[in-house]
Amino acid sequence: MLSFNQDCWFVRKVVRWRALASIAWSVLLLPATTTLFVFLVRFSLFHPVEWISECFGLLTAASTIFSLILLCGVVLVIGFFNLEGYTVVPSIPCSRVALLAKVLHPRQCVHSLVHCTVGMMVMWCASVMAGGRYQALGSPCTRGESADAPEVCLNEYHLFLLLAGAFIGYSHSFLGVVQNMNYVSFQIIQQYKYLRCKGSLPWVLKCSAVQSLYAVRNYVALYFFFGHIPRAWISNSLNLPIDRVFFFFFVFDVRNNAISLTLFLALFLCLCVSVCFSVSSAVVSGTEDLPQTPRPSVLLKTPGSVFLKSSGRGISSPLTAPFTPDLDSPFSTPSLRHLAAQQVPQQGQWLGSVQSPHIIRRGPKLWSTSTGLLSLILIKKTLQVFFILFTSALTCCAQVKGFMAKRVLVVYLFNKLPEASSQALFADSQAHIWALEGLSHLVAASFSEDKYGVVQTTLPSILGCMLSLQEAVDRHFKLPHASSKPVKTSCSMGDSTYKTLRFALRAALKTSIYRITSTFGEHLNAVCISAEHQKRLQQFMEYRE
Amino acid sequence: MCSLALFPPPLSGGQITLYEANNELVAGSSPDCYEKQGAQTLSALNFPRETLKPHSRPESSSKAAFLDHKDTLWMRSAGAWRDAGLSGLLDEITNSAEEVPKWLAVSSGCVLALIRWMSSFHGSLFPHLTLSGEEMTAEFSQVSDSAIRSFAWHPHTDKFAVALLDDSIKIYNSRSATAPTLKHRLQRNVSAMQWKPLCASALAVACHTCLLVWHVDPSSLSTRPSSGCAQVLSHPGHSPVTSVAWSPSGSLLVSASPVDTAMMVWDVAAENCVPLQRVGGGGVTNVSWSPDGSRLLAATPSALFRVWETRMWTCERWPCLKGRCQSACWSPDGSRLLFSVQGEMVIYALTFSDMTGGPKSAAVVADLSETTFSGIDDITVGGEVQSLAWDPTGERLAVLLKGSSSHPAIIAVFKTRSSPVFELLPCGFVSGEIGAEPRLIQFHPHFQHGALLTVCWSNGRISHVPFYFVSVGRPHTGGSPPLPHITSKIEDYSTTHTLYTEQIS
Repeated sequence: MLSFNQDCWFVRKVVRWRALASIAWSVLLLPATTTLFVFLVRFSLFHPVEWISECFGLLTAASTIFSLILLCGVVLVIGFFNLEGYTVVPSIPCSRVALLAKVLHPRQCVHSLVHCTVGMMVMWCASVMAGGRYQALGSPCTRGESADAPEVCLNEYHLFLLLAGAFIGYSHSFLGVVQNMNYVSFQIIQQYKYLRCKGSLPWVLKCSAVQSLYAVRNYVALYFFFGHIPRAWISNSLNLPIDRVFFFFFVFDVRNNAISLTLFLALFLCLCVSVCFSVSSAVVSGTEDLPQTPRPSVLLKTPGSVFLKSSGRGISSPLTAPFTPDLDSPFSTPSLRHLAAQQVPQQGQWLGSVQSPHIIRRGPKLWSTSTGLLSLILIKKTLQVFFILFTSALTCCAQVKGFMAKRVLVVYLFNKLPEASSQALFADSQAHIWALEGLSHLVAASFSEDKYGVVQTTLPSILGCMLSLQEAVDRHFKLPHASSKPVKTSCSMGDSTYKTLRFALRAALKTSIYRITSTFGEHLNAVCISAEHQKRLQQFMEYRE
Repeated sequence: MCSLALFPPPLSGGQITLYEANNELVAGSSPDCYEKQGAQTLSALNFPRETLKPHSRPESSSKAAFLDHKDTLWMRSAGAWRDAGLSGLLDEITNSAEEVPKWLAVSSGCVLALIRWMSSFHGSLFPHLTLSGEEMTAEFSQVSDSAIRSFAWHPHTDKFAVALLDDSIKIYNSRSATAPTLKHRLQRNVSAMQWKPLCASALAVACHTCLLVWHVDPSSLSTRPSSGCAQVLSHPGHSPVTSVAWSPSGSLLVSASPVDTAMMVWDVAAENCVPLQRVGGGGVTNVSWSPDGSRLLAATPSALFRVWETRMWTCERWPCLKGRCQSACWSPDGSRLLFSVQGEMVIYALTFSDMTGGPKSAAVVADLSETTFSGIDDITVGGEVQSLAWDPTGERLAVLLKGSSSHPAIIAVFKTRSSPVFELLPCGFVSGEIGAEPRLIQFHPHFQHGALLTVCWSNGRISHVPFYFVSVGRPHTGGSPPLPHITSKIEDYSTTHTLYTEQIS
């Protein structure tokens, strides 16, 4: 998760300000959405004058003002609470048990609890504003046998809405985990914020409408089967008798359904607008500092360190010194290093760092070093500790594992999800894509501009690294499920770009090598690289890859 | 300003333009010159129309071909909704008035009438919206009536793709004997193709309902790549696609549809897109990326085109006086845009520079009004521009002039010079066999000895016309090639098995 105490320019300069701006926007827009909501709830086609005057009366009532203030507080709380979660590298559970652990994680439980509470509060505000029979938890009712004095019963309309709020809050939080809703992808093109927000607004509205309709469906089904439990509990604890006619009305009363629908929509829009604003703004600014063509002042540091270090040669040359500034490069991600290490184990420089996947998981992640061009923080320590404990326990007790492996449920839980490991491996490869593009542009530019041969002397190692990465990626795509495209979900709030990053990396890698070969042409024959790489390079020069 | 009157007179009597050398176009008299060239080339391609069967699937559903059977109203409504959307659903309800309540039938009839009235009003604002998809493709893309619908050279290697009338695409490679044929269920009404730059295999194809990106492995021996090699990129409301353009860096793909006011910027790996919407124009017909990647031209069906800058994706509007932008091409350095407007017989130029903040108005650089050359028999040339092509060295400009009832279509080739001032100079006319009119023109992207123009003729023939000259600005990689001398040319080129060995014996 993003944490603020780490000194990270992306968080400091971009996410924090954008998120604050988005929270401010959603608070500013709250009166407008509240007014819209009141007008929708009180809508009556045949009495327009009455409707409007009633709405204006309601808008100036004390209870509405109080609800509005409460809603402001709620939006602020949820905004700041969600702020911590945004990440550019999603965590992808590789098996069902990992997913389960993610859902049941204490942090996630707190997250769900806060969302439940917030949902209930929003619904309470909404029901107070809606007024009428939704207003309060207790309502006067006349029991059949004692018609003499009005008695206070449990108002099930109100309870229904409160529980709906809790349910939607929880499902939002749950889906957020399952669909990686806190993941923010980088956009492929840059646009001004206004245009981008304008462009994404219809999509956000449509998605939240669709999602809230699904949530209503699920909630109604759930309430139909299990609604009596909270009803009985509350009526017992508050000593309120239950009015028995509710469900009959609920099923057949069109107006009630319509109102609950609008309530859901309003709630969901409230939640989603804040999410979407922060998300889109973070995305917009995320690409702001990306150079279209490499700006030497920024990028000079990066390329050498990605590839030169990993190739294990060429560092000793003094000419390469400017290109290998720090050994602790932000781009040397463990996962890709691991991937390439399988290819070139004889280049022993990495062997120290490549031991087992679990140890690698604990190593510095791609975005965590503060020196990087794009250092963003993603360390899910507790989850990883949990995972490591779990797996080490398993390896220790191999017999237990063998025994457990025969149980169907265990096998179901521990089986690897298809594609998930591939997605997890390439989850952080956006930085590599940029590094490849920047490096290849630099090398291509060096063909005509590098008077002192700084890049040219390191060209063998650059090419060698790119080609071995290409080989490793090719080999990875031969695995089952690696080359299958993920199923497209038509309308989900989560961003699923991370699922296709491996294809993007493969395409960017090929483009980068082709950029170099098409610039240098026949001159590459003079570069001394290993025979195997030479063969591969020849394929690229003949445009046969 | 250059005009057609300054040109050398066009060939007459069935002579065929073969090549340019020593600043003049050389003609061959024999009508089977192409056949002689064809003996040496990999493919003197000829696609007679009769051998190809156009697809016979109608655009609407093929309901009429089947026997009528009774579905329930719900089933029919769901089918109509799926096939034709809201208007189809309303139509279905209105037509089955005896099965639904009267008020429903009446109200759906009213809504349907209202929708039709609204769409006719919208159609009167943008007349192209009333066309069917196939008519729209024929109107706004360069698709011709011959057997060849579209043609695309690979940007780096001697390989090209030809889209044929029967909706298949053939790929010819000078280095291999196999010519893969690409077919796909969704590959209908191909209107444009482009190879991805800095990539050997990816080919984007603009189809009737979607955009296909084929990945054809160049080392594969398969002649029929499976449809699993194609990525389908589609977006609701974005069909028919009439134009595609890859960014020169190969990272983005832009597609345009005359029906959709938004043009789509695709991330091909993730298969998702960013719509870039602007009001006005009624759609986008043609997109073209400048070779340096900094600007993008987007023409609309109305008298308006836009030039986008690709850093922050803002655009400037360029209203035309007379008609829509018919065709356009960028200079190799991306600083100059030549375009032609429907209804006018001139070529305009726009010069962009980073210093002055862009041009204020377009300048006329060539006059293409009808000119009669008097010789043995009077020949009239001139007319509106069908398409423009500028060779990668920036020294030759080919202009395909539309024909009329009195004179056939013809290609006029200009020499271009950008210093000290930009100007077009006459070079000559390229004419083909008797009865064959040029339909598509494209320059080879990296011809070593000048420029090579590939022409697709109306009789289904593809021929290559080389222009031998020494380019001023072109950096020669791998040592400068020897100047192709006319006398030594035959042994220079006739022995190499490349696609463009066009020589007379």
